[in-house]
Amino acid sequence: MLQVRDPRRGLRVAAADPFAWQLGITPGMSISEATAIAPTIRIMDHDPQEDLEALCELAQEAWQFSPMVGLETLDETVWAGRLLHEPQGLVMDATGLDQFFGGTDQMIQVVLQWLGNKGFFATAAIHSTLGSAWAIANYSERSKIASQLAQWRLKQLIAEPMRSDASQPRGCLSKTIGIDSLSVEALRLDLKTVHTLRRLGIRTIEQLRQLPRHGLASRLGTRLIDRLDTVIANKSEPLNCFKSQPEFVCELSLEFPTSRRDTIEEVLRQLTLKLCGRLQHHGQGALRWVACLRCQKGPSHVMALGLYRPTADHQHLWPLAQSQLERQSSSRLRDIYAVSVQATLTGPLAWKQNDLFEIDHTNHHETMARLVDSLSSRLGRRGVLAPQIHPHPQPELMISWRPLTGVRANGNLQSTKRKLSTGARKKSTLSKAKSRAPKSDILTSPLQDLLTSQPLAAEPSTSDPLRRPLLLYPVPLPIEVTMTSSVIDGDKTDLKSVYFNGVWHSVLQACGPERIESGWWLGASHRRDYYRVETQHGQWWWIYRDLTRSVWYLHGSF
Amino acid sequence: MPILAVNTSPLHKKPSFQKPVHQQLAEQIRSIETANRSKHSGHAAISSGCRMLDVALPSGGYTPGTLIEWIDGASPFSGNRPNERSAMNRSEGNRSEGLGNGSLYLALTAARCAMQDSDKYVVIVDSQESFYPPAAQFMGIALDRMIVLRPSNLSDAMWAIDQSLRSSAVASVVARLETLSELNARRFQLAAEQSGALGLFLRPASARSQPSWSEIQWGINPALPRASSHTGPTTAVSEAGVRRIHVESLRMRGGHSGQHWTLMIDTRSGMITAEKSWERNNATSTSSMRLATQLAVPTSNRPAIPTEHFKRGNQQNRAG
Repeated sequence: MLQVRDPRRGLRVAAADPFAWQLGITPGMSISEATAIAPTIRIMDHDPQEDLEALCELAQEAWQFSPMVGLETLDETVWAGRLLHEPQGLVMDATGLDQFFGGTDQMIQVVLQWLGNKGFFATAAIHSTLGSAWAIANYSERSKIASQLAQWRLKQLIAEPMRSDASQPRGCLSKTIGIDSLSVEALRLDLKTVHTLRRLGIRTIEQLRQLPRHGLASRLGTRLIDRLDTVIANKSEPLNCFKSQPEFVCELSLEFPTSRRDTIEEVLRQLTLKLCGRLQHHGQGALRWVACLRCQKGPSHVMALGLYRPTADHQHLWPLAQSQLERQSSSRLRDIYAVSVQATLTGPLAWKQNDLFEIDHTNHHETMARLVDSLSSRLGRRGVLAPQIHPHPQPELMISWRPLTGVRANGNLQSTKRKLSTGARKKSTLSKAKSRAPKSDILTSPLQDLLTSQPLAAEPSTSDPLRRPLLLYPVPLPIEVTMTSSVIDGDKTDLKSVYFNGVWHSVLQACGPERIESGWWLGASHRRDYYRVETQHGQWWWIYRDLTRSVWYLHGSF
Repeated sequence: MPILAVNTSPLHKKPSFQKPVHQQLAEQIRSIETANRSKHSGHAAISSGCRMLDVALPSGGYTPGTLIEWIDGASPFSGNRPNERSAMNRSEGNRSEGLGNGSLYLALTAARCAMQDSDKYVVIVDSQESFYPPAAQFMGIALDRMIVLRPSNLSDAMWAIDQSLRSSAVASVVARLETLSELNARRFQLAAEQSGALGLFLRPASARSQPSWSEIQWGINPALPRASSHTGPTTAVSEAGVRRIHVESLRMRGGHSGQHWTLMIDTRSGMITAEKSWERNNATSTSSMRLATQLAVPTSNRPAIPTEHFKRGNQQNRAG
């Protein structure tokens, strides 16, 4: 499942695969609740850029239904009832087009079938205005949609696991039903406005319509009135069409389909060269490079590259693209009739002035950027990561990983040096934690070190070098621990031995307990007593007892 | 084949500062074995993090552009049944061998020393997806100069290590290698020589019996079993504890192998001190006539091996 951080409610489930749905995990659920249901579930960070790219691809293909296709236009703040502040749907102008499909219902049927064939579970609606169509599609039968989704996926998993059935369109055909019965959230309002309305007892659009308009505008702003008019008064609103062609795209249609790899490679090389020229002309560099090979029969092949810093250098970009092409098997490259290359994410190129005087100290950032690009082209964006530390009591949630490629750094002037040194430092909340390890311990004697080093704090701190393990297992390993109770200190328990991997390990010394509790505002409470133990064979482990369930786990090793 | 020439003619007047013969021979052997360092001779040796260990190392530290290995000790769990080992899949983390024996701490300490006074990076290959950066940060490794790689298969991991070692922007590469073929080891050695990066590898106990291409090979031995005093409380209330790690120099090009140290790491400051335990009687130079080790000498200084020696070495290899 994918997780996303909600500024108000902490970590939430952004999306879940069919197996997670089957277990009862749904989007919007807290991560702690989800992990309590499925402790071994794999959690990954949600990548909005990949979602956006997938949606853009859908928008491009949706031109087969309408010449005017756009993405949802978002407001400055997230809408009530939404978790992710990013477009999650398409909007099309269907004026006069239903006749080509045999009616509005048939047109919806065709669109849903198309989305179903691509593996999406979608809802669709046609109405006189964008606002009303959006409200019906998103809220008309929301609860039924969720149950239908769960039922359908369960049925699919049991009967036909992971095989889409295009004959039966998924989703729900939203009929033109009364909009008045919809929740006020269907008006695409911000959280504060919806909260105020709920406090006033206003939950549906019908209740909202009964209130005086001038009062609503003065108390809750004009946006509420505008959104209400788009639903009940047929007020039109502009449709931001998806750009037919991104600014940086080069494509070539072949006269005859080809399956020859050398031909495809040469076409790709020329298009990449042309793209680099165009990027350079505009002073932009590519951060995401996407190539699409369209097949006459079968789905298109898409290759994507993430880059560490914006680049328009063909000599740097082409070897990376070539390695992506080499990974495509020849059996898949059949009957290619069109090739397109585009830079889906760009950033301004950084112009570096040559130093007047040569310095001995080499600037390694450029070299590192090229290495990161090369590594990312083979290992993937999620194979080349930089750590980020967050102030969270739970050790496993204290760290997150961000891909180093395909990410624009705050839209500022892209400077490799700045991105390498500032990006992580800004988000690292423990940058002030000073390590107690001395910088150089070559020339000084141990005694001198003790005399000259800063006096150690009276109490150990969590920033001591051996306070946290170097390895933290993604899933804590269950163990058994035997303890002895001290007679003198009756409430004090001492660790005697640890049973792990089929062997008993005697505990020579244990340091602890260190109690770690997560706050109630972060979700389900986690209360653990951590111990750092040394076994008879000199191994240092980090184990903890879950105080809620009184179960022991091995969490890490030093 | 280099020829060791020692002038012992009685006709020549012996200067008062002339070194003894055995010392001359030892220096000439050391210069042959360490001839590959001429490329990075301008670079200072990299500290291991422990002063006493640095003194014992031939160059006063780790030479840039070399491979260093830490090998787990003989596992007390070698008698585990295969199904228990197979239960340690990727999602569950490392096997019990070498679990928490301190080798990673020593490797990261060397990585930290390699990054000092330069803006180079440390690359950590984390195939098990269990590396925990906060601890490395507390050791003094800046997070903004740390790149973590997560290859999905062995082939990608080998390629990534090779590419990283070749980069001049990388100070060191830290990786756990369960298996390492001679071909890949040779590639890593050449890559490290090219860039001057340190290859810091953690190996399993089975690597002790395999040929090594590393400059220095440390053996992490299990701590001597101490009688666990369960008659009294075992919870050490002293927070300023000391961690002890027993290391043995299994291989040290240009130095002495078979030396044992007990490293003591202060858990509060992270300082490492050492005390020498004991030394094997046959602590001699590690120059070996085995073919594999001969081939470990860098190409620029590898002597031409006559065909007869090649055949003899092969036979010895098969026998060994």
